[in-house]
Amino acid sequence: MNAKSGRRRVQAVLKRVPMTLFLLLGIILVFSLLTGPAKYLKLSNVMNVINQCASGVGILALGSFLAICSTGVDLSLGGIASLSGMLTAKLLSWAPAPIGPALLLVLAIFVALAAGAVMGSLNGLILSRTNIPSFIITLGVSKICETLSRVIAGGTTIRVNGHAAFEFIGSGSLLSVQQTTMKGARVITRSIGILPVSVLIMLALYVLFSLLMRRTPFGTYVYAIGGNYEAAELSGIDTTRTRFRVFLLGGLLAAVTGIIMTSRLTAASAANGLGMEFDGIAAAVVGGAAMTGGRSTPWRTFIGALTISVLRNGFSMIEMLPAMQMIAIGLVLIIVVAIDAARNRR
Amino acid sequence: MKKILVLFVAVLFLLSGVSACAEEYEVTLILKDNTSAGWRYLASAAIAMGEEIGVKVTENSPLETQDADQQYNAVLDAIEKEVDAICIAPVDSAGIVPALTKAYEAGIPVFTTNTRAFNEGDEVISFVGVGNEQGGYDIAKYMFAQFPEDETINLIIIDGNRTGQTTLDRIAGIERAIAEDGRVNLLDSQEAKFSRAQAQETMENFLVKYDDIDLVIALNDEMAIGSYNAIVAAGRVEEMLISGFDGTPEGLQAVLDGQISASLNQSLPGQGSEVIKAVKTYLDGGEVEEWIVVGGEVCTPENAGELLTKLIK
Amino acid sequence: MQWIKKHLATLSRLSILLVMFLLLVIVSPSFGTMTNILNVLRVSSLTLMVATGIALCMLVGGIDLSVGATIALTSILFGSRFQLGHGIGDMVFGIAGILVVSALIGACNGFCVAWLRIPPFLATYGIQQIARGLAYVLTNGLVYSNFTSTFQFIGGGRILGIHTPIIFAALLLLIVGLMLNKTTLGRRIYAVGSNREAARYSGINVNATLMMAYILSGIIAGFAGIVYTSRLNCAEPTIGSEFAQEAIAAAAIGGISFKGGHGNVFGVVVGALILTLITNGMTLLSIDSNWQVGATGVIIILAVLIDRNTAKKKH
Repeated sequence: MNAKSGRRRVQAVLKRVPMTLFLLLGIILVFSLLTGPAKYLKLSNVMNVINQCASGVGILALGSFLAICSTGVDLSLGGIASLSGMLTAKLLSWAPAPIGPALLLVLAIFVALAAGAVMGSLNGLILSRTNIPSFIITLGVSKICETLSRVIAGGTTIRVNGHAAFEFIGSGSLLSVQQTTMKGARVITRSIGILPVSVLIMLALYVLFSLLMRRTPFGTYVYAIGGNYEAAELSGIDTTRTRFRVFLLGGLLAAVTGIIMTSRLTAASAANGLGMEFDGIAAAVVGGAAMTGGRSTPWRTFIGALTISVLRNGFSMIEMLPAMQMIAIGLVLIIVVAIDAARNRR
Repeated sequence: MKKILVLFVAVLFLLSGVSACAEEYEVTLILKDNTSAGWRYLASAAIAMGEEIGVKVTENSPLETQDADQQYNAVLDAIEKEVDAICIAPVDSAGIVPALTKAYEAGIPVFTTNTRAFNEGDEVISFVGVGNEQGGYDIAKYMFAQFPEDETINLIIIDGNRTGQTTLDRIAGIERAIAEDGRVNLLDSQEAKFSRAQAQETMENFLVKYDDIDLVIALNDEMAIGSYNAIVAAGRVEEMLISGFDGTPEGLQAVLDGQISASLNQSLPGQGSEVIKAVKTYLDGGEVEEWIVVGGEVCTPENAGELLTKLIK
Repeated sequence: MQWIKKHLATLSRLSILLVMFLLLVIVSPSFGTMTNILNVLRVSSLTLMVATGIALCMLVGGIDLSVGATIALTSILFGSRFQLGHGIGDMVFGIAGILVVSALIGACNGFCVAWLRIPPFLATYGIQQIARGLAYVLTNGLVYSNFTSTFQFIGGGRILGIHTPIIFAALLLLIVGLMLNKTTLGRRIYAVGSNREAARYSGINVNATLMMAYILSGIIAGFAGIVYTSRLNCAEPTIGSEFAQEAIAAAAIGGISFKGGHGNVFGVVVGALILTLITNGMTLLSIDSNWQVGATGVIIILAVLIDRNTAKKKH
């Protein structure tokens, strides 16, 4: 192998590595310099960020990615997460329950997912039949979800009373290690979950969606629709059904987020999850999705979601004012998209 | 690529020793939001007290959303920052419990202020403030007492945000007072998100709808002032009384000016400084009470001036 | 018959409004009063103003999510600066300042969309974050209030018994309507919106047109902000957080197409009125505020659906 082809191979590899990964590493480097790597990069904080990603924007971002990839946008994801989380809590706090706790848990999760599916299909049904911009429809559906969530809450927050199996979803871990840190003269030993259930769920979903996008006709159709809607329609792709499925899946993913969120907080308030859809969109876009559709992959979206979580955690570690955080995230978003747009034009 | 990574890791290790070790205590303060006036008073008082007694107070409240999930993350981030103590006013008393348990496991003492966490146990060292429920009850009782004994009181409540703990607790207190008082007829209540602007619009609608309002209870001072503005614009100031909540400087001034009849002194700056004092005492190895009562009195035109001078000082 | 067919979409929008209006008159005794109708008009006039600006962005195929933050930032700037002095000169200076700053925010949007080629949704969302963040940084939670009575008259006064915001909104709509229908800029906006490439080939400076649309939207938001701040007699950083959504909904219900190039700006009136009637009506009917959010959602979807189905446009 000569030097030239070696360089070419490196270039080829580099080309496949998404820019966002470098951005993410750069951000991590900056934060660890500012906070002190020993503090910032210790196991418990790494797991903290990944956990925050899994119960927050991580899973939801897949839904945003799907919608954006098929030239739409889904503003109802936060609302659906709120509704599903609320339903889970409401069912689990059913007392006295007519069925055992295990069965109740299954029922609660089923109902929450079903609600996500119903709301997602409502989006999908209207969108795929009428071609009204997804922006306005999902906005409407989001408001409907929020209302349902508030009404179910009935003017209070719903607590889930010590349901260990349920709490395991959001806070449990399959494997834990002991971490010892020094705090002045005190030694603090904490057990840190290194295989958290919520993170495993997130990773499983990413593997699943990666396969779905690459290996199935559905994935091909979504990219085709995003690439060129008219051409996709002309080539015989059932655009109606594909778009319907995109939003149905989005609803399901948001429901999973809602369940994990409720499990982590062991309580649901109607405000939980609202506004998360914008984080999801930001994650997908930072990951490389173009609003014009047809680009990026689930794994790139994952990097985008991680970037958002790393930014939020890092800002709070370096004690940045919340208002400045808002400005910083706005700037990051604009800069990333501007660079992306400039590269595409070339 | 590999080389870059190796370099990256090496740089990180080199820098590991850099993190400074400060003498003073570090405390993270987590309030319900970073935007409304009341919380700003609490935060600045806490920070000022911290500077006075050698505690470094950093605030990390959710920006505007009153979001339980963000507060949960803020607590976890504070644990990773290895602060000496966490002071929190939970958005959701129940939803914050798992995070507080995590802090407890990490050996970080937690203090609640303004709003309690649900079933506070070992995780919470002490609570600084008055109960919102009790406050709601007290202010409602006081306002009802302003009316003649055998007269029906037509009541309007300007709600805060029904997804949040503050509103739920205050409403519960007001409802307890209503249940004890046979005269009250609750006409209506609507959310106005603790905002002066929204309260003004909500009250405008109510004024069109009802021509027999006797009393408006707003769940904070900002909304009370907003309602007052709407009532003035409609030329119906003489018809009804208004009450606020919190005892912010603007609220107290409005009480003094006769715009609103009363407010409930939460003494938010007092909560801020007291909670930091309690933290310092505790970390120094001293004893602190489980419930440090701050504020709680009804602000009337008689005592508002005095409270205001205390606040502005 | 031909005429009905041509205006079916407009008629259907008007009939939704009419049905809502009649229903409210029947079920709520206080709805039909002159006070309430003026109240509805006044509340909707603010949505209407903001929506007029957004309609311009939608006509060039974009969107503007930053209007609410623009209003917050400019009114905060106005509050913090204008409070220093209280003369008429200060007020004029302050108002001019608001318009300049809001034009600048609009220009940032326009620059991001036209030259950096950032999709409008993302560009204006990013700018929105930055502007509102600045508003928070500037105030640190404070509320500015007690403006002079001269300033309060702008949004809180009445001329011949009609609230000033209604008059301002009507004037603004008229100006924008005339601009769109009678001037070169108006024709360019429609041309760029319906087919950007064709517009470019016919010699229109597309980037400049996009820029103008966003700057105008910013200025209009700033203007609405002046009226709003004046009416409430207070400036707080949280105001307007739902303005963008509401105004976009109003424009969409009013028949402005998201794809650009289609829609009459006067339709926005109907959209704004429908949205206001929902909140006003539900308050008058004592419906729990929890349901109001959802009702808005349902009406948005229904209105757009009915509109599309009657228009029978093929995609």
